[in-house]
Order: sequence, then C-alpha cells, then structure tokens
Amino acid sequence: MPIDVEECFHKYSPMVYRRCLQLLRAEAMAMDATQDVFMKLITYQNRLDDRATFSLLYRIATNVSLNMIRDNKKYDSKVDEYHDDFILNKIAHVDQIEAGSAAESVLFRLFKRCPPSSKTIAVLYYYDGLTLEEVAQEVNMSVSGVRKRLNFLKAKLHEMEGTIE
Amino acid sequence: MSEHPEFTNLILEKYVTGDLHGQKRTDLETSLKTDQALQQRLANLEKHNASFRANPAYADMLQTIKTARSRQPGAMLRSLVHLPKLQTHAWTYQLAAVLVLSVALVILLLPFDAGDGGTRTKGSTPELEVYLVKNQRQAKLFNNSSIQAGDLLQLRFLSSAYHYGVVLSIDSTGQSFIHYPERIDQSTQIKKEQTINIGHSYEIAAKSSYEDFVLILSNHKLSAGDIVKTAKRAGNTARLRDALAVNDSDLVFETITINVVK
Repeated sequence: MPIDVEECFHKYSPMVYRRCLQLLRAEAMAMDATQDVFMKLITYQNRLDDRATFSLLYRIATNVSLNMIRDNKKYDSKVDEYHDDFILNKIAHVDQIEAGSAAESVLFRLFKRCPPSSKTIAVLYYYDGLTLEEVAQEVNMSVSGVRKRLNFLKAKLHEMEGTIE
Repeated sequence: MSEHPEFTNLILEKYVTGDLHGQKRTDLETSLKTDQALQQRLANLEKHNASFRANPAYADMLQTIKTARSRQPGAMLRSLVHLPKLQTHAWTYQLAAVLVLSVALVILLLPFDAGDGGTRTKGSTPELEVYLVKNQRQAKLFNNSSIQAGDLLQLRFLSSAYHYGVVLSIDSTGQSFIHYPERIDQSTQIKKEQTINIGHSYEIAAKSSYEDFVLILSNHKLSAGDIVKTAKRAGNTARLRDALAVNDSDLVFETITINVVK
C-alpha cells in the first residue's frame, strides 16, 4: 500500500524532528531537515509502501541531517568541542572518499535494492550506541553484513586524520 | 547516550508511534509499571509530541507538504527558492507566516496553469529541459553536462503541438524511471503549447555513470506503462528508439544525456 505522506507527517514528524535535532543540535536546522525528510517522501511516495515506515523515516532523517552537517561549514568550526559531534562530522564527510557508493540517498538505495548508506549504519552504531543486532534490525541487514560495512567504513575513516575508536 | 541502555531512545520512539512489537514491547510495558525514570522519559516524549503539533511551524510544514503533494506550482517553486526557513523562536512565527503568504501570493501571480503545472508557450518547438538544483538556485543543463551523484534535478518540457507526452530516464545500468506522468497508470494527455513543469525533483544515483532523459511526444494516445516496459526491455536509449520505431512514426523523441561524476 502506498505511503500516505500527510498521515505519516502527523504520526511521525515529532519523532523525525527529534532525530534531526539530536544530530544537528540546532532547532531551526532541525525544522528544515524535518521538512526535507517529508519532501523526499513525497517525491517517492508512489514507489514506496507503508511497511516499516518508522525505520525508513528514521534513516532518511539521519541521512538528511548528515548531509546538512557535511554541507554546513559552521558545524566544522565547533566539532572539536564535543566528541560526539566529532564522530558525526567524520561520518558525514566520509562519502567523499567512499568511491561514491555512500553518496546515494537511503531512498535511492531502496529503489535500486541496494543496502542502506554505510554512514547511516555508522551513526546508529557509533553515535546512537545501538548494538550490532539492533542496527541490523533497523537497516534490515544481517549482523555480519553490518559488521562488514562498519569495518569497511572504519578502514576508510582511518585513512582520514582521526579515528572513531 | 541513553540513561537506560536497555531501552534506547529509538525503542521509546517506536513505542510512542505504535511501531514497537513483540518481546521488546512486552519488556518495555513491564518496566514502565515500576520504573519512574522510564515513565518520565515516555511522558516527555508524549508531551513534546503534543507541543510540536501545536507549534505554528507544524501547520506551516503540513501546508507546504499538502501543496507539494498536490503538485501545484508551489511544489516546484519550493525546490527552487526554498520556502521560508521554519524557525522555532516564537517571535519568528508571524514573520514566517507573512513570508508564506507572500510566497503564496507570488505563486498566484506567476503565469502557471494550476491544472497541470504548465505555462502557455505558443509557437514553441518540443524540448526537454533539465535543471540542476543546488544552493537554492537552478542551472540549466545541456546534453552531455556532468553532475555529481546525489545532485537534484528538476525537469520540464515544452509540449509544442502535441497532445500526449511521456518523460522517462534510462541510466547506465539499464534502469528506467518514469518522470511524467508521475505514475505509469496515469494519463499522458497534455495541453498543446505548454511548458510543463514536473513537480518533483529527481536525485541521480551514484551507481550510474550517466542518465539519458527522454521526452516522447505524440498526437496519438501514449501509454506510459507500455513505454516504460519497452524501455526496461531495451535497456538503453538507442534500443528504445528502435523498439518504438521512432523513425517510422509521428513520435517526437528528444534525449538529453547527463554524465554522473563519481
């Protein structure tokens, strides 16, 4: 059954906003990100169904927020103040070196039956503190698949200046 | 991190939206009976839900979404000019409302046809136009332009003297996507001499090294479903052109290739 965007907005927008705010730490940016999440949903509403809407929106919100962090230079200037922000900033920028694969949006990956962004997996694991099993459940992958993605991403992050140990 | 590692914020969020099922739900409900801190966390979420929905910014967003969903001109305009930033400080709500009304007024004054998102362009020749939307601006792309994976594109086309139109794209992996009409089961009928704005933007995938955008026009009825089926079988633009016997028909077949830089 196709997604009813207005119904989704009513039900899930507070959760989406809180997720964006948690990552962005700025109310105005979180509001913009929330709107962007549902605009993305509108774009593809007829190609999605209403199963697992929560997880889908949570992942889009994570991805949209990461893209905003990546594109916001002001964020770069304050990342050293908080360790968590430092991790997020590193993850947000990782698609610049991930051979293009992580640059795809969560939605597009769904359409093309590709697994979700490694960045999203990394945020769920390193930033949100979910277990491998919980991450696997959220992104609908196997635990070993998640572990492989994280190892790959970790290796890429090691190529950058910092690490997320 | 969470105060209750066994019940993360994610689990509580799922519970509040009714998306937590099975053993986890049972465990949470059991803990809620005795754990006051957990009860407080849940109450805070529900309180925030109520205040968020009562926030004027919520109504503004809902209106923007309704507008975009109905594919009125505002949907495209928003992607091009980025509708007012929704602020959370109370003193900005009135300003935001004024801006929304101003934008709405501008939309009304723009020469869009609310029926199909088009403007009348008498005497035009058929043309497909692809725009890159970046930093709240649009830039027209030409055949063989290069963009980056993840970039957003906006499409529009000129119907010229034709009554039916379909816009689709085929990427380097052979995948086809319908852009106009929005769904393959929708009518392809268009008005003559119109500029038709495709209300939703389109994101380029990283797996693809290029994407061919195709405009097909005809004065005979077109089936978007049949064309997309043919495109999927064809796998590329040249074979689609052959499969549709473009040279032996009245079909207009315009293509624009956009290269994707990794």
